[in-house]
Amino acid sequence: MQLAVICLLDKERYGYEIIKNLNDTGLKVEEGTLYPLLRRLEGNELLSSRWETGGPRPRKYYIITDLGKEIRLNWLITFKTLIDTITELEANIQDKGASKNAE
Amino acid sequence: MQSDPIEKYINKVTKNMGSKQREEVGRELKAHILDSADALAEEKNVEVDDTIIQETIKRMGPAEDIADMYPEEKAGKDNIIDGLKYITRSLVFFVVAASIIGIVLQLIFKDLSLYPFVVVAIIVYLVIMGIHFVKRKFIPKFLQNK
Repeated sequence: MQLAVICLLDKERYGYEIIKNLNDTGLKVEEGTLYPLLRRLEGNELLSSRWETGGPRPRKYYIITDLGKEIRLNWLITFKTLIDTITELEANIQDKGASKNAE
Repeated sequence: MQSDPIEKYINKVTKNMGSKQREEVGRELKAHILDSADALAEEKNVEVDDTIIQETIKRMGPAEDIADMYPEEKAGKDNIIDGLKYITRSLVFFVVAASIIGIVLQLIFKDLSLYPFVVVAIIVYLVIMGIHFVKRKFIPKFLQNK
């Protein structure tokens, strides 16, 4: 999930907005789990944040840092390599019917 | 009344956090729950009420699980506060345990001298503290091996 979250944060967004975006892309998340993840990513300096208190409710906006962008690139490469590897391995499966059922 | 279940949930999530983290996390979670409740009420075409709030909180996930996911960020000041809380708790345990034992021993032995009473009180105190540590798995930072 952290890769999906970090991919959304080239633009400043607050927690509820991030969850809505994730849901719109089909990635269902238990809402409470997002905030500890954001806190961890911020603690690791992959995200930075600021409070916006001008509106009806205070909101904490997050955005990716330069370090976050570097790490994201590494994660994407790893993720794509993993997908390629799985696709390659899937070609070795003899019982394709079972494979389709698993999907 | 409407905000009570929200405060209760947030308190459960933040109870072991340092003061700064607790304040920030609480503020962020509260804003989220209220936003989410507004959206749910709109979706159902109803007003935000206790049922909507409860459903929103349920969507958040169990408070204990969420609390466990947060990174530990206690500052030095928070560790001192934890230490003071621990000492206060220990003293309260001791006074309560010693008082109970004292009353019981006074009832059994009318002419009780102070010495055996103090020994028994200390033994009972240590047993209670031992049970407390095992049950709560709580050892303050300044007593932990580095």
